[in-house]
Amino acid sequence: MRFLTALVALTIGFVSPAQAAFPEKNITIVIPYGPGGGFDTLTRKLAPYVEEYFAKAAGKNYNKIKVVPKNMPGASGKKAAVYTSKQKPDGHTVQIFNIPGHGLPYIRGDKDAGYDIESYSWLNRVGGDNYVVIVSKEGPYKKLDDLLNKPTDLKIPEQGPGSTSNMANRITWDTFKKGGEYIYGYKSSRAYSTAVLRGDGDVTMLASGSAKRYNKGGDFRILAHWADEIDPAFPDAVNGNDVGHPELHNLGLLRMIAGPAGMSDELVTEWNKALAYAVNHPDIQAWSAKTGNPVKAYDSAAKTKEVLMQNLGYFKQFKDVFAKK
Amino acid sequence: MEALDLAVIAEAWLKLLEFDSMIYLVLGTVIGLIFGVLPGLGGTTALALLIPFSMNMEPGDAIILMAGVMASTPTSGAVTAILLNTPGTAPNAATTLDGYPLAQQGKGGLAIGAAATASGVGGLLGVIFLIAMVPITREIVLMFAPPEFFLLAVLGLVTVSLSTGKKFVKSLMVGLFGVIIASVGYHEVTGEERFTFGVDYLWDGFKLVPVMIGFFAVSEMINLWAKRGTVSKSGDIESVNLKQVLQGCLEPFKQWKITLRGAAIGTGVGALPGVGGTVAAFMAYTFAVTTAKPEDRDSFGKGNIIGVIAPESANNAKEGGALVPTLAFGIPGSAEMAVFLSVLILHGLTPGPTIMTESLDIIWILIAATVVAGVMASVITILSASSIAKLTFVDSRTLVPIVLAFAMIGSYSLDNEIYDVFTTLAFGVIGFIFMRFGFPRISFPLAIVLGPLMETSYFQSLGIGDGTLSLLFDRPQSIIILVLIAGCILYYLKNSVGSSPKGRSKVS
Repeated sequence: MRFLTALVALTIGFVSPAQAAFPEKNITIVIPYGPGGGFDTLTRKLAPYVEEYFAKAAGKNYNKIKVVPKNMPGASGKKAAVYTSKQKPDGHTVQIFNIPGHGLPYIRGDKDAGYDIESYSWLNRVGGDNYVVIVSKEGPYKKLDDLLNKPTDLKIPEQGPGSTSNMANRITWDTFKKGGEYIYGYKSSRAYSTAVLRGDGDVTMLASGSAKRYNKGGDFRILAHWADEIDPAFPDAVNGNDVGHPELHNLGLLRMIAGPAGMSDELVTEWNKALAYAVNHPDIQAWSAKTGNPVKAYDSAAKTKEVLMQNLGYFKQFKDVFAKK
Repeated sequence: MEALDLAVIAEAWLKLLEFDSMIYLVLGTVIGLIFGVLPGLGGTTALALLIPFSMNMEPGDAIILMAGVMASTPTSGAVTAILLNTPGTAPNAATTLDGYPLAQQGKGGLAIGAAATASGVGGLLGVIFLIAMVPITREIVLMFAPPEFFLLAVLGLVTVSLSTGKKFVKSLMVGLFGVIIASVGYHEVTGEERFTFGVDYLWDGFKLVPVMIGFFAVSEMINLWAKRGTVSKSGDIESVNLKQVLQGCLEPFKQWKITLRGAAIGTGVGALPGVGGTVAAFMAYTFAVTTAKPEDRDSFGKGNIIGVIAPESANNAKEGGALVPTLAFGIPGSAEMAVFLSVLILHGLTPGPTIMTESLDIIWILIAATVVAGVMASVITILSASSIAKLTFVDSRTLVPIVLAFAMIGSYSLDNEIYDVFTTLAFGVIGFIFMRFGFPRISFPLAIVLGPLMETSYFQSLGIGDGTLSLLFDRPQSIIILVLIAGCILYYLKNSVGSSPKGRSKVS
């Protein structure tokens, strides 16, 4: 009998090594920001479905495995990225990344960031969005040209140097050779869009999903949407094709999940499938449509890494722009 | 979403009536009553200690728990002020002036009944003020830009320092220390690091909660341990009986003008960032004395029930007032609100322009919980006045280890970070040293919260005003705040020259 048990165990182990070994304990998804933001919301929304996928794979441990989102705010996301890079590559700790935000050291060529964005085991994309140019509806700017023709520099309320939307702003206005004076220190996208409404500045940029949410009361005018297809929610907007700069459509932000460097191919594949399962779940798709939080996953980890490097490569062209304060 | 959307209001009340919510509300109220009755351990300490435990709760439940604490501490704080001449919380200090003489005359129960009822009524009036503000918050938010925030921060720091009376200079020094501590870390405007000495832990600056737990709870415990014995050494518990307490309950209604006036002063002063309940209570008391008939004035300080009603109505009403700047601007109206602000932020609720429009459901839950907790606290205080007074006779050898253990666990469990525990201990020692040498600690938490706001809005004002600070002087709203700042300073100068400092706030 003991021999038989051993044989069965050996056979299971031999046939499906990854499934037997993983997951063997709770899984942590590190969120590099505090509770309540977009990254936190998306991760917490996805976690039960990732758990559902892995619970099936865990077999006898079906009810024991939990997927636990863990907030680790600090140093604009750096604290979490360093933490994740130091964990065992056994698939039990992964992290949601902000791209290009977390890629800023790579883009700038900083060597002392404490982590190397290329080295992580990239698993899948879970979300992402593109940018819009937003002004107050009551202000003087009716179309993008009005902004570009302003005789003085644009005043742009923003979170701070190095934030993802700051990168979008700098690339956009640099493309049009339009000077910008940045007013930093607004804590969130809601705060700096309210600053535009109040007249603290002329214009700012938001992810299109946020713009839709904040503009429910019709306070704003969206003058440009850097996407191949302009969202019908933005009737006043032009896109990059209309203004001769289709390359601006690359100005996307991505939400991607990765684990520490050195995860096995089997683990990476399992995780890729688990995240695709969660993202494509009808509940998540319905939530995404209702709340305007765009979600998307790829069917391979290789595609994830390819898109990541494409995105970072695009931003790297503007290395000098980010060196400016 | 309309601010006075009946569906949202009804939903908030239904949420409050859920079994779990009621448990949290009762729990918060009872904790608040206990911390209120123990001198030194006011609402600020209770909130700070509860933060880590609220982390895994739904935001609504956490808010209900905290509202229970905030609405109840000033109520029970009056019990020790009356019975033991020791204010349970700083805002109850004014209540000792007439409350303790009443207790000495064997009318402690009467005073407690009056204080508890005045607290309940004052709290309700404060909330009505808050509700009145909800529909116009959008206009207020758009009216207050970085130049006004800068001036409000200055006003907060100036008024809190002035409220410490003769200790004004020491209070400013504490405030300056707070500003320096707050400047540690990555600077969001310049994108540079300050005072981090290459230590990753300091990259985001000192965290508010471990600092608050250390500065208020740990320092008090060190102090209590050093003194030995119990919190209270004497007192007349016998004078408290239910009949007398119920008689006292009628007094605030007989003196309804005093109650209303106290509430009005409380909400008004509470809404000024950084001023808080202590100033509100003393102002209400002073106003009651100066507006009394000349023949009655001599009875104040000797056991006049009006001297209990006015400050107690004011110090509970200030909760509603203080919530306005806390929620609408993200500027705390008091030290307690500063900690509450961190609770909101930790639960993903961003005070300021967002909260009144995006989290209106939470605002109404907060309002409903504050109303119910205030009434519940008054009823519990009335029914259990004599029992809760006995808490102050617990020996420090029992009390100190328990509170310290809670402080350390609370600090560590926030982020499972051992450095947070070291921070708590370090600020506990610093807080104790400040107490020991008579530095008023109240300006420290305000400086920590208002310092960065002042700096950021200064830079933003420069950006908006094309490199000048002209915006500070050419808008009606900023002129009003400037006038208030000047008025506060002139008021202080006038009083410090002409009058005795007796009766001024004794915040520490």
